[in-house]
Amino acid sequence: MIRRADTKAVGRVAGGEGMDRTLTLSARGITKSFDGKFANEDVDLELRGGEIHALLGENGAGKTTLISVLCGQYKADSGAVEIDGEVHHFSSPRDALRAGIGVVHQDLRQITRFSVIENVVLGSDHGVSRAAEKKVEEIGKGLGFELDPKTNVGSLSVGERQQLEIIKLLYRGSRILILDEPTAVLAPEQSRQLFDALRRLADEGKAIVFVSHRLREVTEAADRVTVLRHGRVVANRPVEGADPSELAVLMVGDDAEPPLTVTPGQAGEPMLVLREARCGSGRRALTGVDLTVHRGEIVGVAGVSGNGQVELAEVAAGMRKLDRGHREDHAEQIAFIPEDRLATGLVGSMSIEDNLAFRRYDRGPMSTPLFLRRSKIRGWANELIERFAVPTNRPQLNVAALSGGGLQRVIIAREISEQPDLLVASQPTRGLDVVSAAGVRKQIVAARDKGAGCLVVSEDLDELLHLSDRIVVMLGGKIVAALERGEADRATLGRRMTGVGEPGVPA
Amino acid sequence: MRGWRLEKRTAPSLASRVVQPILAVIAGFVFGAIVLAIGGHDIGNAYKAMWEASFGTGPGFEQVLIRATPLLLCGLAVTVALRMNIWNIGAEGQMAMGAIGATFVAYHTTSLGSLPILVAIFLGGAVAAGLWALIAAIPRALVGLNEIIVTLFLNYIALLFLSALINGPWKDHASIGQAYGRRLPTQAALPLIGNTKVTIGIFIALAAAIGIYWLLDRSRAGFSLQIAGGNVRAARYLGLGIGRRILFVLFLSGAVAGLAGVIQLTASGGGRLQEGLTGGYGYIGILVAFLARTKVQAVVVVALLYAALLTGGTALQSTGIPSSIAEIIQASIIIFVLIGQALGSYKLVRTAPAKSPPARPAAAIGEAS
Repeated sequence: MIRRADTKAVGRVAGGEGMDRTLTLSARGITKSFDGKFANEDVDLELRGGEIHALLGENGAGKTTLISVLCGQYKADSGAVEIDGEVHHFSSPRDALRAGIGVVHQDLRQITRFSVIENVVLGSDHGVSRAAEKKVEEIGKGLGFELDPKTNVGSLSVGERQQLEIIKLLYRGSRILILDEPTAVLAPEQSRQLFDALRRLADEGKAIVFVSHRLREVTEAADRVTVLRHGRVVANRPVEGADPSELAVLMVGDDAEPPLTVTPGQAGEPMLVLREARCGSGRRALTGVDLTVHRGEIVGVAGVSGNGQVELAEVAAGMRKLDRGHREDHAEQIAFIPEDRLATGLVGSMSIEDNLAFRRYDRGPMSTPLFLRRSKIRGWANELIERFAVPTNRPQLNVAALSGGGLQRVIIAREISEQPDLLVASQPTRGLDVVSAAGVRKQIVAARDKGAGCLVVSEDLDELLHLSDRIVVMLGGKIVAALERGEADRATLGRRMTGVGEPGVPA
Repeated sequence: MRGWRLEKRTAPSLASRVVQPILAVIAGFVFGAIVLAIGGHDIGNAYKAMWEASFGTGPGFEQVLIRATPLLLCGLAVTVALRMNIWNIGAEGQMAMGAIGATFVAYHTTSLGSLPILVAIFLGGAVAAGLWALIAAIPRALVGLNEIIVTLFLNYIALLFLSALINGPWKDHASIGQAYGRRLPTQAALPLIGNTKVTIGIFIALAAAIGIYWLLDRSRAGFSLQIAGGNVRAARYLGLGIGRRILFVLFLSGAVAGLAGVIQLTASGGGRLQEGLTGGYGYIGILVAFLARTKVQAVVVVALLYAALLTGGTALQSTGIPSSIAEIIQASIIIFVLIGQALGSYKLVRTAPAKSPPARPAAAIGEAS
């Protein structure tokens, strides 16, 4: 954090007086519609070298569309993109790349069987050479990345693959770097490393844009922010002096729900007890977890990703057996909100209403021993769609047609409506916009208030601090700290997650 | 400047699902007409012969039903497994095992009356074929061995086993030239319907269709099969056992194909095992299930139409048109139907010319979620 403030100050001084910032990219009046619906309407965006620019907006605000236009993937209905005063018409991402615009997409488009260096030179006009390797190493070193050019991409972590993507674009000479939700897949520590690298690039005079809907990131890492709502620019301002809550309001508009006030829970009898729980191996392991979740409390699980949280959630939900140790639950109904919605919790080829009936189709009134009762299933589905605001008006459509937020609502509706005694939620709001996320949190608190014991695994520390009656921190497959509500803050959690220092001792 | 673009339909409309296969069949016949014209044949005569040999006349329709019976059963067999995303390519071999099992039972129950012996041989055939399919199901369930390969190769084993039986222990020594198995007792002949040549096998097949429709689309078990077939992880998440469902589905699939084998044995086969008894129906069944998109009602319709096409094709040859042309017509109809199905899931949209179609229109347009 300290480093950020410093570099930002330096950047600002440099921009303000020293070097003359050349305007690198200016998009004016970008309009793009799909099927008569505006995804972007008269959007202006100005990027300057030396600056980190954040693009903030809810799901569906038009951020991805704008990026697609900038990088030549979509052709705008109207509007122009100028780079250094020269108007460009891109008809493909290749054109944009040639003009110096490089995009790091959310889904990293790499060939996992190839090595780092092979991926870098792929599509350029020359092959792998010692010189190319050297250049890649240099670029990486300059950014603080430790990537061996000869490593197979398949063995890299998501964070490292993102680094590779950045190196690739710099190698191709990109001056304007656009990152689409780069931190969605990163642990806090990795995000910090990424933003450090971006700052170095900006200091070299590059123009950086990143998309986010995490306010904290924007206020910490960006110099300027453009806020999009319903495809229009609603704000374009320096980050300095911006109030995060003000930005939040701009982003979600007046329809934003007031922040949820969470009253402390009333912990009752134990619902789930783990003793010396062990399973798995390596980074995907529990190495002796002791944990009790009581009725009527929310226990938050914090930790840098890959320290056993996924395994803990699966064990808690009863989906995974322990190798050693002891697990007991006193729950009649366990609800589990898995991290990967479509992959685990839903069947994409079945309808929304069928997916909503997964927990009930095999008993009355949804079916008799001989027949399913479609009308009951439909009625139940409609009830849940209404109650949990699942965004659909055709429940007969395949569930895969829903957006990320919609999928999450289907799972939450189905799981929470069973009145669980034990609710295990893994990354319940990841990738959701502010409004959807608030809705999900509200449902978790409501389940707790009805007496469920809740275990919430999340990488969003603010969420954990906000929701949890108790937060446990996982490191290396163990619980290394347990903090009561009020006792925990971001700094303490951050230190315990990374295993640096003891509370009270400066890290 | 505006252009056209193909866009994936979220849900094909009912009209398009009905109209589109009809158009495809018409297109197939038009294409067939071109082929006939090129060959210098009379198009009108040829199609008239096909019509009269299938739906146009009583005897023709009887032939259609006779062929539709095993085709329907094999189509159903493949459909049952395909609902759970299991590809049973082995209906041909399962038919053979069904016939073998039925023959074995018949040889040992010669003293029984007609109804008991029929019940016994149908049960015996179904169980034999179901167990045969389990040979592919067990390794699939336990270690994930690809069932496509195993069921396919089991076909060769089953057909050669049948051949070995009728050339060896079950050989009818009275037969000259082609090898036959010993005749089944006369009580084991499947009764005919009225004065026709059609056996009650068609009712057995239709009953199987109703039963399978109930199982797949109306029962709890079918719902759970759909979950397990759609997403194994989701099934595990819901606590549904995958392995036993694979065993169940392939046993049932094999048993249904086995019924087709028993019907071929006791009806047109003249009551004895012989080579060629399976007649390729097991393979065409895959096509039937695929064309019907694993909808049971559609399997019934497609089996009937395909049987008509087969019968009509045979009749074409009697008018002097080479069998290859009949096969071209058959194949072109199938291809047009498949093209129609592929196109049917898209719609043409008028749009501004875009270099590449939007990869994630949902995210781009944005739904207020």
